[in-house]
Amino acid sequence: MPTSSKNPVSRSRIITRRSFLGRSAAATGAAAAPALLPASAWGADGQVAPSNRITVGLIGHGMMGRGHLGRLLSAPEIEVLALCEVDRTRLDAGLAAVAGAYAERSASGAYAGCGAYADYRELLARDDIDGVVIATPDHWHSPMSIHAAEAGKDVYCEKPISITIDEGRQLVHAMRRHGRVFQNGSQYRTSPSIRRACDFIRKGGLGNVTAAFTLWRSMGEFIGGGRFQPYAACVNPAVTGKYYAPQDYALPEEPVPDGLDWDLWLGPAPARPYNSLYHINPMPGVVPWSFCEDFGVGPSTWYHSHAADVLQYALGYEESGPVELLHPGSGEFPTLTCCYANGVLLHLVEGWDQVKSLYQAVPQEAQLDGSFGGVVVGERGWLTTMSGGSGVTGGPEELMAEYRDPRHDVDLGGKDHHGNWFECIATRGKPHSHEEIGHRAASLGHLTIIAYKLGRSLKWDPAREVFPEDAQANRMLRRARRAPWHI
Amino acid sequence: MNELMARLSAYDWGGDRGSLKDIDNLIVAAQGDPGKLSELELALLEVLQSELRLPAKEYICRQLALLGTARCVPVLAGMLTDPELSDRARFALEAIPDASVDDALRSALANAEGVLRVGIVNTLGERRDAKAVPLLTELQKSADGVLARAAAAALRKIAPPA
Repeated sequence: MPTSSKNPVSRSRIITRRSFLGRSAAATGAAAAPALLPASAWGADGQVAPSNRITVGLIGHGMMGRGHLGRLLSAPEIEVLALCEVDRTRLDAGLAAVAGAYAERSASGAYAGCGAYADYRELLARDDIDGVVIATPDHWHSPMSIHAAEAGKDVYCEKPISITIDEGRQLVHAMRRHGRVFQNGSQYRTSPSIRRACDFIRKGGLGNVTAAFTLWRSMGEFIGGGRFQPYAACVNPAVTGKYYAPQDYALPEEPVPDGLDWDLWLGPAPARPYNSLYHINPMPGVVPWSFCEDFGVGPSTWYHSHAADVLQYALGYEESGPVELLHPGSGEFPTLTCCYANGVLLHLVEGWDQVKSLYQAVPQEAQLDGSFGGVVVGERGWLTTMSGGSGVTGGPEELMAEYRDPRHDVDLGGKDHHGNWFECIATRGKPHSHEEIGHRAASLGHLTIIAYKLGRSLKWDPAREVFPEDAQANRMLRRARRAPWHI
Repeated sequence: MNELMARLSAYDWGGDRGSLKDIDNLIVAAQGDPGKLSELELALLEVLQSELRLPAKEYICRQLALLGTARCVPVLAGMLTDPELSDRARFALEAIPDASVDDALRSALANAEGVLRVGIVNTLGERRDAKAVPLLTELQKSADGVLARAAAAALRKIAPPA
């Protein structure tokens, strides 16, 4: 929605701001400045001078937003200038976190300089912010990213970056048109262990890859939880829980909590009355809204969006996609399967045991666990690209001897996906999971959902991004937005 | 079919979404069978024009987005100026690949006001309706900033800058 004629190249604006600060210091008498400013202001004591920091705004301070804010506040090269959150309680909590963290590095021991907004358009209108981190419900990811690009901001956006294939493509166009640095928030992509496993596969360590596996679970796991119990008559887990796509439940209206702007929460999504299931999630849960197709993409939000870009990276299709979705109803495979142009098959499984029991793709003794990632099988053996559980495992022994990773666990402490984004903002380079990769990862989830919803196999043209033989499926590439929102 | 449509007619906030799954499944099963698709479209249209609560109307619009044809355009177009239904109608219309949709949207522009008019402009842009360019060019000059910006965005989609 916002219109902007700001400088599309953030780097030049940073330099301008820094140059301005330099000139200001000279004009006001630089000799007097050191007595007034702390050492950190000049970059001493290992600190980054304010004029060299990347200025960031955070949009969305729910469970994921809190994690992002913690990472941003711990980065000496970052200054969080603004927070945006439609829920006043969450906004206040974020402001308190910023004040607490920055009070320590201010000369006065206090800090109240963080801007607070309910409407992200006001945050984007600030010309002193270089980039934004977007951690909202999924339906906001593409619109906010596009509007941020139009406002001249670099973007780090939670995954999946879209809820339709068309809006993801529009996001890619916007990033390119405005020369922005975009990072898809699939943090495992930057984990050294995961990258090493993917590189090993890409360089032929498994020989020719034949198949890969990743998780896609039905809705029942999510909506069968205790918090849905009071709404069981509406959600009907016994029936809708069997489906593999998010649903359009008609949850009853509840009072909107004080301080929550429900209309802004909805934004471009179809109007629905407020219900606490969308917004409130007992700790440590995340993505409470993801079961509703207007706000999230169900199993894609939960599992697939973490794994999709890593797997397509390993398979060499990170900037493309499958050519066919094979529905289990076709009888070709027992679970939904994505087929790539080179014949590699990506099977979606309910659990890792199916890799053994249904597909017999790895030995029974193979150790497969963890939630985010997958299993890749080639002529010479198999390897996982998983986080959690046992991390990277593989076989046979000879192959793992060749793999020679000193540690099989996924080095979560070593991942620095945010750091990769910060670095690219400064260098104007391409982050590990840039806009095209993020779009193709999200698209893989959307393609899967379309095939599940239509209950049939589909051919897909990843270059033109259309279903060449299915007009009904093509209708599902995009959906109308609530007025007045547009991208 | 009658029993399914009766279930749909009773659908309301808090209603059992599982009770509509049989209709979902019928629509999926009808793919490739123009006769069955037409029968479903007619049945849904008939219910849509009866006394219904909003969730039932919304459900029907979502299904028409999947299977609607030129036949349902007049009914949906009639909803474009209704504040409660306009977005729902556009949800269906935006997806229906028939030129009569664009004609209906352009016609509705004259009668729609405020945010509903903006929504129609947005849909014309998403549908890349070249015939809307003169109308949108005029609206781009509107004193209503939201409408003018929406028209400008729609024009960029229809004819992107080189």
